[in-house]
Amino acid sequence: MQTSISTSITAVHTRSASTSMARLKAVLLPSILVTIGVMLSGCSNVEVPALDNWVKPYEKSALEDPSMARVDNPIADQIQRGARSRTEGARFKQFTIGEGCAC
Amino acid sequence: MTSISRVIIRCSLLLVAVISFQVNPNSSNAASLPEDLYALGYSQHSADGVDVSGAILHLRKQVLSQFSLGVSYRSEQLQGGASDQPRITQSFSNQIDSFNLNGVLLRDRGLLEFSLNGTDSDEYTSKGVTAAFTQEFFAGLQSLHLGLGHSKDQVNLRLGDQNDQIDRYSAHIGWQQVWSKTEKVYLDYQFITEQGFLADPYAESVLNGGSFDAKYPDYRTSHSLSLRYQRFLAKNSSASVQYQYYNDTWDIVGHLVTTQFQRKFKRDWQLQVNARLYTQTQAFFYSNNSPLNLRFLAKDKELSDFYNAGLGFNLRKRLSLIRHFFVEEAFLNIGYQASFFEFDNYELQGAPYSFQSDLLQVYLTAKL
Repeated sequence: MQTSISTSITAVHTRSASTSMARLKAVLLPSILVTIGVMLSGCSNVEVPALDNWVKPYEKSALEDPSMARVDNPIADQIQRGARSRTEGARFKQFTIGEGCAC
Repeated sequence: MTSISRVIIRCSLLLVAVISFQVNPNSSNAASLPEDLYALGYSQHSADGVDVSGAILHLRKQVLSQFSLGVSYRSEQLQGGASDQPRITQSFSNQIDSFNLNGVLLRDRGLLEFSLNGTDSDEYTSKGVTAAFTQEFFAGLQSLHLGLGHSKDQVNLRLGDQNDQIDRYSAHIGWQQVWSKTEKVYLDYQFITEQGFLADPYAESVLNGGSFDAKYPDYRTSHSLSLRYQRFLAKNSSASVQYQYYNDTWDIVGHLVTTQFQRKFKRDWQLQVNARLYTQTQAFFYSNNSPLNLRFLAKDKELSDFYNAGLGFNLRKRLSLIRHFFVEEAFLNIGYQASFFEFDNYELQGAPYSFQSDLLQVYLTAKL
């Protein structure tokens, strides 16, 4: 009796996990593709740089643009992390210089 | 703490020490300290019957040629109880005060950080310390970050003979890679292990329709891995996409995708929009209504099988009038995030549950 109940609990658990994965594929993957498509739409060419052709120090102006900071807005980021920790089971943290390791 | 946890933490400490001694004091392309920043703001978060509102104060100033000191203080008032906390009435309130002191030392192409954190509330008191190290390589095209943290919580509630402390250890390793003249890639791994009273003290378990105390494991270890791609589009304009994977010893597996786009418009306005999709599987001891009295059992909706989708924006306006007085530049920031939660196996009155979460934040930032 106990074995059959345990089996059914496992089955429910497995089914919910597979439902979640199906939803992930249905919702998340198209959004990733659309986002990447939008981001690449302005490019004339996209190529992987060769090891001997890495970015030179004088070619880093775009990378040093304020919009390319690792964390654009640390105050907003800190507030949002606090709000998510109250509503989600996973503990995603993000490293920000000036907050220690935000562990 | 398991032997695996100890091994990971010891290896991380060793790696930090080894890299610290390899910093070349004569190399060029130095890293930089975080910018001086003064911020004062207000935020309000409403989700599932719980309102959390409060103020945040953040001060960061370079005090020596190679040292920056940051202080932040946050005071929040929590009001009400969530749907899975039936023992809390809507008149329940709790004051939460958080404090952080952070020092960053620039050492050529490396940054050494040390932080002290403290939180005090009616429910618990927490004290923590973190140490981190960031090192650039190859003319700043790569950078490595290592961080370690430890915190200890003292639960202030009367919990009988239960263990009322939490010991928490964490480690972070991150790699930032310049991919091209306009692209960056970030890879991060984070490990957290904690032991002690990890329960939501207000949660219940439901056994054959009856309500009982929830029973949580007293040990949890989690791993999260993230990959982020960021692309420059035009001056003051960029976009990024990030995927994060999470799992822990409670059997929760989470997937998170975040996209972000920002651009400047007119002369003084900056807009950032973002979208977020999150899904997780349930913890092994979660049950909406268990037929068996198991060793661990809880009806805690954060541990159930659910997903949420969120949209948000942050609008920043440069305050040009203030610039003429005593500050170099100042900004007004307004942000709003809406998230929609749909639960698979968390039910109230026999129906699957859903709710909307709203987060509003308004704050001023200035550089003197």
